Amino acid sequence: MKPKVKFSVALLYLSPVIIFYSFIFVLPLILVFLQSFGLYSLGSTKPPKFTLEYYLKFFDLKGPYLESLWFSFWNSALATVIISIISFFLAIFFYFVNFKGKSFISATYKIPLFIPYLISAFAWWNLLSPGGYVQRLLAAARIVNPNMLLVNDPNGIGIIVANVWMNFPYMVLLIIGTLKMIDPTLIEASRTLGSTFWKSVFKIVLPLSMPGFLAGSILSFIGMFGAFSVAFILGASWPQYMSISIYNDVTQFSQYGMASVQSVVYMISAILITYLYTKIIAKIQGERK
Amino acid sequence: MSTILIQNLKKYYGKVLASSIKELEIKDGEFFTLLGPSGCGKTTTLRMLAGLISPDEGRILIDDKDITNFPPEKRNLTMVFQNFALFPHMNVFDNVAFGLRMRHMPEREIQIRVKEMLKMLRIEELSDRRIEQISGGQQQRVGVARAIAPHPSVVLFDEPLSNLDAKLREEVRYELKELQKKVNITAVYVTHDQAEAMTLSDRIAIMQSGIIIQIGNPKEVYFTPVNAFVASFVGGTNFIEGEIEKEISQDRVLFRSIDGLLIEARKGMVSNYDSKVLLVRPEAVELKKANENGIKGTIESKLYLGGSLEYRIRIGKNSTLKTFASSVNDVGDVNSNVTVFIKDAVVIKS
Amino acid sequence: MKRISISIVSVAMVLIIFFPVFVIFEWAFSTIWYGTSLFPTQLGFRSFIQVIQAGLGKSLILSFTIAPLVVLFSALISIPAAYIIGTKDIKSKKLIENLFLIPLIVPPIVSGIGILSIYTQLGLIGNYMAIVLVHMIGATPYMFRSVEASFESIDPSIEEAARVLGATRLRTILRIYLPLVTPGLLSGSVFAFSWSLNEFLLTLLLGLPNIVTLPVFLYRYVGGYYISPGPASAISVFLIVPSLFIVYLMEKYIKSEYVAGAGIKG
Repeated sequence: MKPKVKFSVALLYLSPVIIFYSFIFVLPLILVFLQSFGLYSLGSTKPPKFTLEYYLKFFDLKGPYLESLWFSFWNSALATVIISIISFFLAIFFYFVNFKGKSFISATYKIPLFIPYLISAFAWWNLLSPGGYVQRLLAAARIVNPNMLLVNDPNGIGIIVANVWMNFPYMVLLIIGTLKMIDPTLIEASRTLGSTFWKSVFKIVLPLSMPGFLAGSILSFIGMFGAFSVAFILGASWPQYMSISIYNDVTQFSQYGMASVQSVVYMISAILITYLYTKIIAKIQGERK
Repeated sequence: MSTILIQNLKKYYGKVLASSIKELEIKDGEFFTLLGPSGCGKTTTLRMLAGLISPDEGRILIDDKDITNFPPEKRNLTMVFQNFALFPHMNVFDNVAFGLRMRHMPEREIQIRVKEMLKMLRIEELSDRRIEQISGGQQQRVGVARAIAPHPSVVLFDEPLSNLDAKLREEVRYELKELQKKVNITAVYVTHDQAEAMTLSDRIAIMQSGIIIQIGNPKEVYFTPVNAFVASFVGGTNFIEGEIEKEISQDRVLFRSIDGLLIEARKGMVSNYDSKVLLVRPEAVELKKANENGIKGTIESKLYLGGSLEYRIRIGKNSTLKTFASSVNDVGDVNSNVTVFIKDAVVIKS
Repeated sequence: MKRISISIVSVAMVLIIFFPVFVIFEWAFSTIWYGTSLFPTQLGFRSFIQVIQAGLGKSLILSFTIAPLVVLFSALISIPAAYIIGTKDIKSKKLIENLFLIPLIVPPIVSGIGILSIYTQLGLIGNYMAIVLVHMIGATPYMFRSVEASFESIDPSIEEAARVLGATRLRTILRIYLPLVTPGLLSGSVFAFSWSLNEFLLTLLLGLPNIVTLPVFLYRYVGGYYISPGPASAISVFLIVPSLFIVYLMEKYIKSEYVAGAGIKG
């Protein structure tokens, strides 16, 4: 039994972390929040004055900002779904099948984890831009129209491809972790009751590994949602990921007001999505009980 | 119900022969037990029957059909697991229905069959419960119901009672036997518990180091074990060294102990070439007061066990016999003399 | 059937993983490559020489000295927190654990522009230690979760035994716990190191013109309107080669399934 400790005592041990994050994280966020209401100047010389103009501009349905937020969301969500499906099958493959050279393949699929995002993004820019190998292959196989843009395109195809490539190893590892927690005799029981291997996977393994896997995939999704480098290299000038939009507003257009409103909404969206996600998972698990 | 035939079945783990069975036939409707200590190969053999492990050599036939290369789901045999292996994300009903759903039975028939199974195992009221809500004993029954529901030709049992506490084990043991007879399914049962094996089985195969040492019904195995290992595994033992003096009849001999005592015994399963020893079960030793006509013995030690007493009686320079008596029938103290009657003995391989 | 699918998956895997890597190597070693041709016309070391002359060495040193510092400092602040949360029963434990995830959920640009303002006013733009601090924002949660998982798994009676034998809390942490949480520290360090090496946006915003880490150095050739694949690939090669080495080494000696798993709470 772990001894009970009062929160006030724990505070002492938590203080280094708390102090650190207060200055380097919480304080900046507060400033951004204030600037979004005009109450603080991040960079301009404008005197602080409360205003809602930035927010109004953001939520303008004809404006670019909501579209940008939506693009960030659906593009990363789609990538997450693709990653999940691929990773699930790969995880099953690695967990249940033994073959010669497994060690090599096992190491190989982890390589993207060790390659910095910027480089991965750049590599896929290379492959998918007009004249790149993958673009040529797909065009030759008539899977895509030779004139269709795969990078810097309005659908964010390049972004999705690069994101999938960079993130699927993490998901595979995550799912294998959840597979390890499933009692192997359950699958044996299922097979002796007449279910083939794949039926057992979908009826037994998948439902049991789902909660753990969903809980872990949220970080992956949010990471892509708020990411910068991939969208920077592979994104088009429109639509933009919100991170790019904010960056440009700060570095190019000195629009600190809009930058901070976007930031606030961006941050709240991320937190809200995470919260809802976890609540839904808890509900699914609750329903099982 | 089905017959099983195993031929030349072998499984190696690395260089070690985990299981090797030359020829084994299990009859229709039989309750057949593989009994032995851990590591003897009984579970390996069972899992090969199930199709969960592939043998390195040999064949398995069920009803004369060679199923050696069939995956588990095509063999029409089911298994009851030691840890129950119930699906935690389904309730009791769905667990029991699983095998039926895999066979695409119409839902209405499934309802009937599952209810029938739950009733037979006396767990009808648990139908909607989740697995974590029911006790170990109840989980066991669900496991059995699930295994029987799909009308398998054979049910395999992998030490199903080991995870239950002792008292529960005894209760369930009895019910399992009744159930098997009622449903008339061929059962192959694996255990290391001799009491389970003895009470449940039509025949027992005792295994050691991957091979079957002896097959027989419980009485045969108990009264006429082939060697000392089998004898010790299924019951208490006293071994007296010596040789067969002469044969009295076709199955009875006169045994001369190393100390010169002549004891009449059953011949057992020994041949002339085996080194032999006499087995006398503790319950076959009767003690009376010293002045009777019989083997003279001295009480070497006496242990008080509550309701019974355990005596060690010395009957010769190199021979002692262990026996029990109820506390109210105390024949004497240590170092006192007694008369020993050997009511039954059998010659076995040493 | 099974064997065919295994082969297909294995081959596809190798192709998919190595294709991007291959194309980078191709560009890195090419000196002339026309847009229309499939392969470079001429190979050479020109791109490498170009980036080395442009300051690749300095960037390498910066990246590989900042990262260990990030690991060190995030470990220093994480260990006490991980100790108290992992070994004791505290009411708001779940809440605190979730709070640690927030730096990973909030998009970096959001805190980035706030920090930009603060650093500008404090004159910390381009400051080495200031960048280390910024890298720690994302590295610390991973370090914390990893180490905390390790602390959680330790039998609480070990601490009781140590205390009863006269050890102070500090001594207990140093001499008893630290050796025992080494797996968590190791795996957390891998994540933290990788995070720091990877960190691009905040370093770009706050590090210029002094702190040009590898990603920022790379950005010079891929950012903006014009992408120079040659030099960019040369820089990438410098990072990919040690990474490949580490990956295959790790697979041989450490089961990296455990490394990744340790950072994830069930």
